[in-house]
Amino acid sequence: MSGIRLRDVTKHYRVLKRREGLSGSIRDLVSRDYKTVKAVDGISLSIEQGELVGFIGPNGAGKSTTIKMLSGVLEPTSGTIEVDGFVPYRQRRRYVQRIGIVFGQRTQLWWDLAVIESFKLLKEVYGIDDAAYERNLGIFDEIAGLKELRGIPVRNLSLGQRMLCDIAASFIHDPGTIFLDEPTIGLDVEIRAKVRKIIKELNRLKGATVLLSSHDVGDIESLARRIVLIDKGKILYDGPTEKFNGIFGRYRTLRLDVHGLSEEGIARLKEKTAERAGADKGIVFGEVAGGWLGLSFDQDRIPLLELLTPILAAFEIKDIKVEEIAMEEVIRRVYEGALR
Amino acid sequence: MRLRSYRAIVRNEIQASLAYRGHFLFHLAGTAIYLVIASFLWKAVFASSGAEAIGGVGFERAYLYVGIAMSLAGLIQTNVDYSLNRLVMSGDIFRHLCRPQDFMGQLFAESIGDGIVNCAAIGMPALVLSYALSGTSPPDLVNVLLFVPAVAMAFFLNFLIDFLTGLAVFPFHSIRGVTNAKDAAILVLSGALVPLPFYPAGIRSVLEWLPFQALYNAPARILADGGAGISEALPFLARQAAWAIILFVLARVLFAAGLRKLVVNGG
Repeated sequence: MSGIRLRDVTKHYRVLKRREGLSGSIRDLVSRDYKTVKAVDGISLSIEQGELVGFIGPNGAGKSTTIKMLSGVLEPTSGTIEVDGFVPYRQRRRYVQRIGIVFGQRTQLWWDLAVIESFKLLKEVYGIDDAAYERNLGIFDEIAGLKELRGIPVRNLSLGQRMLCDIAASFIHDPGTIFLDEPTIGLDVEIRAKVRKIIKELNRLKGATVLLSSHDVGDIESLARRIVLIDKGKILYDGPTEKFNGIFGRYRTLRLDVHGLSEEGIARLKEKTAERAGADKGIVFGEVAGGWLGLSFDQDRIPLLELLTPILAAFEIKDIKVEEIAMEEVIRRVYEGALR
Repeated sequence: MRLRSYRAIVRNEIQASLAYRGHFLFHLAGTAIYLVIASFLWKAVFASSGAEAIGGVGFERAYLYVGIAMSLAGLIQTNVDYSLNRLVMSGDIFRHLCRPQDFMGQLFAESIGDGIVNCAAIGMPALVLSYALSGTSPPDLVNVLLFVPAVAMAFFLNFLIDFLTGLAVFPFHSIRGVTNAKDAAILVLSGALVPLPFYPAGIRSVLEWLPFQALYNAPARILADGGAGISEALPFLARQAAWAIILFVLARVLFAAGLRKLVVNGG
């Protein structure tokens, strides 16, 4: 059976609880206290061949652990995983021949050698025939500009360039399924967009199933038609991106530079704004961080200008920023019932 | 098994090794200094004893033995214990595990790549220097022909011992203690520091059955005992082979067990 199937998958780690300080470290030598961390806590998921699914959640939600289990690197504590008819961790070597993997924080390229040498190695490792190899390199040259990077040692690449090469490398053997774990982590906006474009192109050209994880909502919104939201090892949402966007796309975070305001001033600003807008407008204030006060609001219920104009009139605000909703805010609102 | 895919690793590893040529220069210089000092040291040992030979071994043979052992040390070192430790603790082990190749096979192929470069850049020159400083004539062809498989076996055995040491990362999360113990054991028990023929007969007869002597003592004896030929070399080679099989099976079983306990760290 093709596609990805997970049923009631859990992964528990036993983690040493370290005591604090030097004396704690010494006591840890003789008596140890372990606790069980439920990194993945009962996930069931079904993805069809050729689908591009976005897997989102805050840091530590269990995304990477799930992807490591799907790649056959980790064995689940309980539950069953099947990818294209394979049980990943049991038939590792035969299985990984058919999948591609990118872990955003690591590279699978040969650090000291020119990029092309890693591709040549992968050609032998996966037993790719000359024609397919040349054809794929051609595709990478065209959509990722790989040609200019071929001769550069991997350690001399920028993070963004390396990521482009790593993604290309994960497609080199025409795998049926690709796992991309945080491929845009640490990249700037421009390279991010390029990475997204390449993933989309390759998915379209190759028809591979792609599961892409990110803790950035924006990444997924522009790529995937389906979103799986996960937090604390559990799936909170699994459905179309439009529905998700319909709910969270309207939320914005407004950031105000409140350097010029006193503590009381900030308190008064919060009070006045909440009072004027009314309790039903869904305005939530965050903490003041680095002189910036964040507040998230629902554009459908209160337009930005209506919210902002009275604030600017009454308080000394040096600068403003409007951002898309942050991951933590999505999670918080989901727990409060936003998706129900 | 696609042998070509492992050959590709060997090739890449050779290329990666060659990226750091300064490393060889200093390693070779260090080895040469050791060889020169060792020649003075052993000359002094023999001079102070006043005898032509100690335990039936003269200066030339004793020094040659030590020189061969030192040349081998540069050649067979794999550091795969540290590699394994690093791969597991950093989580980079995923890279090996997501390739359709045997894990141990990948590490061995990487080690061979290093070994080939080390052989050419350090082992061979050091061996030539050892012969020059010992003042003996070059070895017979028979001994050289027997020496080659003995070195290959020593390389494989050293890989296995390092690999087994590296597996300590699974229960202990650090291999430093175990590696130190292993290094000390090899230094003393293998003949790398003091030739085994100088050990008391009782201890020597025990040491000759341990895997450590197969790393240095076996190839050094085969090459240094000029004219001994096949009849003396065969028992050494047989013991090397026996240990290779035992340690290989042990490594596979323990690695499989360790992998089940694996926690891929980071990200």
